[in-house]
Amino acid sequence: MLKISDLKAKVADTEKEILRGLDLVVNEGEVHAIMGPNGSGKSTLSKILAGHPDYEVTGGTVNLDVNFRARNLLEMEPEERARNGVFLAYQYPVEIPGVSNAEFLRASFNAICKAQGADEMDPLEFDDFLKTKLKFLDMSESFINRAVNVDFSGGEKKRNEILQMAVLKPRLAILDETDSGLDVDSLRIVSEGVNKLRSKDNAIVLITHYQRILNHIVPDHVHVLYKGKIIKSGDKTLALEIEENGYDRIIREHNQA
Amino acid sequence: MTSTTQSFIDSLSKARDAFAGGPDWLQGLRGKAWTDAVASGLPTTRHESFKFTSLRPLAAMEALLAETAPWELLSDYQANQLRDLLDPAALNLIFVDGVFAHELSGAGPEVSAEDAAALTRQLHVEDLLNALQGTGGQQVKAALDRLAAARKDLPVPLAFVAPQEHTLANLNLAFLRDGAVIRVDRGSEIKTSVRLIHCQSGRANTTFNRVIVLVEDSAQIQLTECHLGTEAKQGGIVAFAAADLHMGANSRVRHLRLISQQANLHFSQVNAVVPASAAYHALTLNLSARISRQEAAVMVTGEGADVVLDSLATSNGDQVLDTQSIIDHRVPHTTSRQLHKSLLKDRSKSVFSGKIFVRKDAQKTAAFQQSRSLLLSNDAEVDAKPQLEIEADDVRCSHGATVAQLNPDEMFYLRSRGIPKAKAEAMLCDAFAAEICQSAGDAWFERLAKRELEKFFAGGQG
Repeated sequence: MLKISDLKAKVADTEKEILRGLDLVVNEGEVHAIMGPNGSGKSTLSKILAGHPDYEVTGGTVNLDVNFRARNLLEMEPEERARNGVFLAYQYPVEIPGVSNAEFLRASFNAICKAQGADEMDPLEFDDFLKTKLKFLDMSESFINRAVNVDFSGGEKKRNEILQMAVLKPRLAILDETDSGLDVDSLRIVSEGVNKLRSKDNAIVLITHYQRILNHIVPDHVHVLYKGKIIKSGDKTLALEIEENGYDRIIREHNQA
Repeated sequence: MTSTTQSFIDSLSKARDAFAGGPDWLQGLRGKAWTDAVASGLPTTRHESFKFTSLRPLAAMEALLAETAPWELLSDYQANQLRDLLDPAALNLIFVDGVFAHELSGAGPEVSAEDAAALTRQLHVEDLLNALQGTGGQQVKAALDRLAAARKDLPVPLAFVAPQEHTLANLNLAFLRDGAVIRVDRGSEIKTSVRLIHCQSGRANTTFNRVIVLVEDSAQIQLTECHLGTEAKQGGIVAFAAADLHMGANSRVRHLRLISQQANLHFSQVNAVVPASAAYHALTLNLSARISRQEAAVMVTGEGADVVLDSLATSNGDQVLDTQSIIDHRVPHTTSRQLHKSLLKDRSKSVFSGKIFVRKDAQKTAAFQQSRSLLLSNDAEVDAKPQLEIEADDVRCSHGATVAQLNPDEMFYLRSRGIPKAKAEAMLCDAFAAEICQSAGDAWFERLAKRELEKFFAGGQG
């Protein structure tokens, strides 16, 4: 579904290269965890996949299968990526004063429906649809009438991201440190939400610092990102190894190779 | 510029004959205002408060004043549009080309019999034209005299200094005839909204209107003014409007205003005298005009008085929207809060000059002012000038001004959820405007504001 080859990227306006030849293949139904020390390029990768203008791709390709055909993701505007099923759950969800969560979700849902040739929903219809999603994620209805992420606690912001994911049903969800800043209960609720959304047709890329969330959302593949490259891949046991020994040994092995 | 601006005033002089009747005091008042206007001429950009607002387009105009019964001139289309606009749950007072249209005015069908009876009992609306000629004349004279006296007392450094800066107000006074006198009886709480709806037939290109509101002690009323421009004939239409609020002690007024003039010009003055324990809460949506200049003077004259003066200006194309306000705290223990927002597209311009004066005796004043502008184009221009002059030493006052562009993080967040760029921009602009619009707490007004705002988003060059 997603094929990243030799991806190189830097922060726009600077010469600082962050991704230095990254390769990754993600297939339908898979969950990939990307781990790595601070500054390795994890968040940069997620933002580049979503099309954030602060980053500039300097080399490599990213292809996304759309209707069984590979399309160049990097040429698409951010909204086009979303309409083709790419979803980024933000590490720091943005607060938007004055726009209600319901209005935001409906605009988003309808934009994607429209792009896919499906009928848009009117506000009442959407309200009912949204309520089923809230129930599904065990979230209070008060969520929907508040301004987007404004005065939300850290946990509420992350749950709001998963609510958006539930509404938009992306084919490729990239969760950027969704576990950071979550207490044990919030982590469980958010993880359960994600697990309910797993299917054989969609894929999840989970970016994280800690193995903790991987106890809840069990990955098929674990990758270690270091200095802008994936230096080691494995199954879920790799995460446990990192939890126990840190990244030092993997980095040492990589440097010796 | 002087010779060309005189041509507008010259063309007006021919229309003065129609304003020759009435009692002596009225002739004296009109005569003095006219003489002052002619002597000073229109202001130019050399005059401080017009530095950013050129009245050049007014110069090209040849004044053509309203005929009697201009509502008969409305086309079927215009009449239908007006009917659709009326609030069925309010008392609608219609003005066409500035002239009070009795025949079209009245309480809507959804006003209950009980409320309608209360309106008849407690609220007295008279055509200014009739009031000036009849026994109401003395009441109008007294109100205008009172206001002139209160305005005379405005602190010199904050009032308009040059006589030219008063020409627009003087012109409206020189053609004092059309409008309304609205009086609310002592202690009456008017539950029904009063909508003053100003529309244009398109036949006249120069209209004058004044509404004098007398709110007696402990009375309450919500007034809405809507100034809607028709499609302009060549050269546009210029509307002069004034609203004077004479409030009694412990009275409350909510004053909602909406100006959507499209390609026309709109010049208005709002004067409010706010005595002890009275609350004057005003909200002005200045949504479009080729040139719109909204001047407000709020004189806070009694302890415990509370003022809210909020406004939103949205401009596109080459529009110039100018908001000028003075809040004069004259006595101790009063409060005021002002939030002005402007949203600009294209090459448009927004001018804000907000003056707050706290006099030496006005201890314990709490006055807060904020100006926030959102620029959607690199060619748009904001001239914001908050001024706080404090002579007292025990007060809580602050002011601030910000100018920003759309927040790129917010834009990206919306777009990354599939929302197209243009829609995302519109959502953020809507949110920016909503803070002001929704504070009206009035569904009919908010609906109208939304409709007019959509014209702003669709208009201009993007």
